[in-house]
Amino acid sequence: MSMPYQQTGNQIDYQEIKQTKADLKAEVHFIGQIVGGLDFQTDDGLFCELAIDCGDGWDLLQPGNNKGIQTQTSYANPGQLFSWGHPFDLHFSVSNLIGWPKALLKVWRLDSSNKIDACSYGTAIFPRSAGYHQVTCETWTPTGENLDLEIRKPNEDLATNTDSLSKFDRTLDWRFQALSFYMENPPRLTTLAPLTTDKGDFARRKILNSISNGKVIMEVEVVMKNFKRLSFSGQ
Amino acid sequence: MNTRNYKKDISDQGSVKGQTNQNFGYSQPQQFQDGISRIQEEMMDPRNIQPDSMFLNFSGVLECGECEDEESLRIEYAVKYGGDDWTYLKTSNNADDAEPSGISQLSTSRNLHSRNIVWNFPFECNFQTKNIFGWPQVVVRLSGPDFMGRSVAKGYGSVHVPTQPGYHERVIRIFKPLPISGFTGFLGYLLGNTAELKNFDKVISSGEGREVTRVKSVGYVKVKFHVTLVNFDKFGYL
Repeated sequence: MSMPYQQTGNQIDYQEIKQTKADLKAEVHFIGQIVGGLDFQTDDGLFCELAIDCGDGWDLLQPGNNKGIQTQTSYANPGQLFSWGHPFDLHFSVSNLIGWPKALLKVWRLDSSNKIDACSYGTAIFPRSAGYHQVTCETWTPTGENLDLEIRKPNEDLATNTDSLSKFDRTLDWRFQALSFYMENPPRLTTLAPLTTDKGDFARRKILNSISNGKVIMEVEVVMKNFKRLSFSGQ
Repeated sequence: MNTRNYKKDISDQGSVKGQTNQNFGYSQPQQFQDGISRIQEEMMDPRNIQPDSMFLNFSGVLECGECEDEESLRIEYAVKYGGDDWTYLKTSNNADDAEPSGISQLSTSRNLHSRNIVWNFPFECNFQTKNIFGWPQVVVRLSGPDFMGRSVAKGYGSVHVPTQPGYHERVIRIFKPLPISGFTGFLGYLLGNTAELKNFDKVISSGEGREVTRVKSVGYVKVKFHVTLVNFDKFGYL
C-alpha cells in the first residue's frame, strides 16, 4: 500500500502523514451483552457476575476500571429465560496473544428471604474471530471436594496408583452434602482460580465434585484492529 | 536539459555513446500532457488518502414482538452511544431529530390465538467516530394501556447495532421491573404507577446501578438491521 496522504483543507493541498508505532498495534473490541440464563430450574431470582481474566500482554484501555459486571436480578417461569440484558464494551490493546480474555461467570441466587448465595460457576472464552457470536456457557455447582485426590497426576496410570484412598472417585462427600441439606446452600468456591487456566491454583480443580446446572447466554460482537496486518488470524 | 521519453527500450542502452543516465525508476515527476505529475495523481487517489474519521450508517426496522398476554403495545426506541468520540449526524433540523429516537404507533395483535404484535417501525441513523468504544445500542421500551387505559411501561430491552456490514436479524429479550413488594405492586396497578425505570435509556444502556433491580422476563422483539461502514479499513478495522 502506498504512503498515506492527508488532505489539508485546500482541495489540491496534500501532505504525507507519518504513521506511528501505535497505529500498528493490535487491538480488540468485545461489544455485547449478557443476555440471560436458561435451564436453572429454580423459583428464586438469579443474577450473574462476570469477571474478566486475561494475560499480561492484554491491556484493558476502556472502560478504565476492571471491576467486573453484576447484572440485575431476574425471575422466570419454568422453561423461560432469566433475562439480565447487561451490555458491556471492552477495548483491549494486545501486545502478547497469550492469555486470550475469558469471562469468569458466577451465578448468584436471591431467595425469598432476601438472602443471596452462590448458585453456579462457569468459564466462557471470548470468540477469536471478528463478527457476531452467541456464546453459551454451561455452568456447574460444586457439591464437595475430595482432598485425597490432591496427589493424582495427569497422565498417570490409574491402576498403578499406590495410594489406597486416592484411587476412589467418590461423587458423594457426606460432609458437604449434610451441610447443604440443612443450610440449603451449596458449597462455594473460595477463589475463582479453578475457573481460569492462567492462575497457579487451577491444578487443584481435580479435587472438586460438581453437579450440572443451567447455561448463561451472551451475545458478543468482536471487532479487531490490525490483526490482518500483523498476520494474526481471525480478522 | 534532460528530455525524457516515457518509453525507453532497454535495447537502446549503450547504443548511443555518452548517454548513461537512463533511469528506469523516476526520481523527478514525469510531466504528462495535462500537467498533473504522477506524484500528485498518487496523492489524490482516494485509496491513498487517510481520512480523519470513520462513519457508521445503519438503518433497520423494529418488526414485531410479543409481551406476555398483552394485546396492544407501542414501541419506543433510543440509540445510545459513547458520548465523547461519537457524533450523531442529523439529517434534518427538526426538533425531534436532535437525538436518535422514535415512538411508534399503537398496534394490536390480530386475533386471540396469536400474541404477535407488528409495528414495522423503520429507523435510520448516521454516526461519525474515531473510536470503536461506545458502539451504539438500540434501547427499546414497550408501553401500552393498562386496565383503565393509562399508558404504562410494559417492558424494556436493548441490543447492540451489528458491527459487520450487511443485513442482520436480532432478537431483543424484553424484561419488566418488579415492584418492591406485593402491596406497592397492587397499589401501583390501581393508580397506574407500575414499576418503571426513570431515564430508561441511560439505565439500560450503561448497566451501572442495576445490581439492585429485580426484573421478570416478559417477551421479545425482533429487529432487522442493515449496516454500512465507511473508512473502517483505513483505520485498521475490518
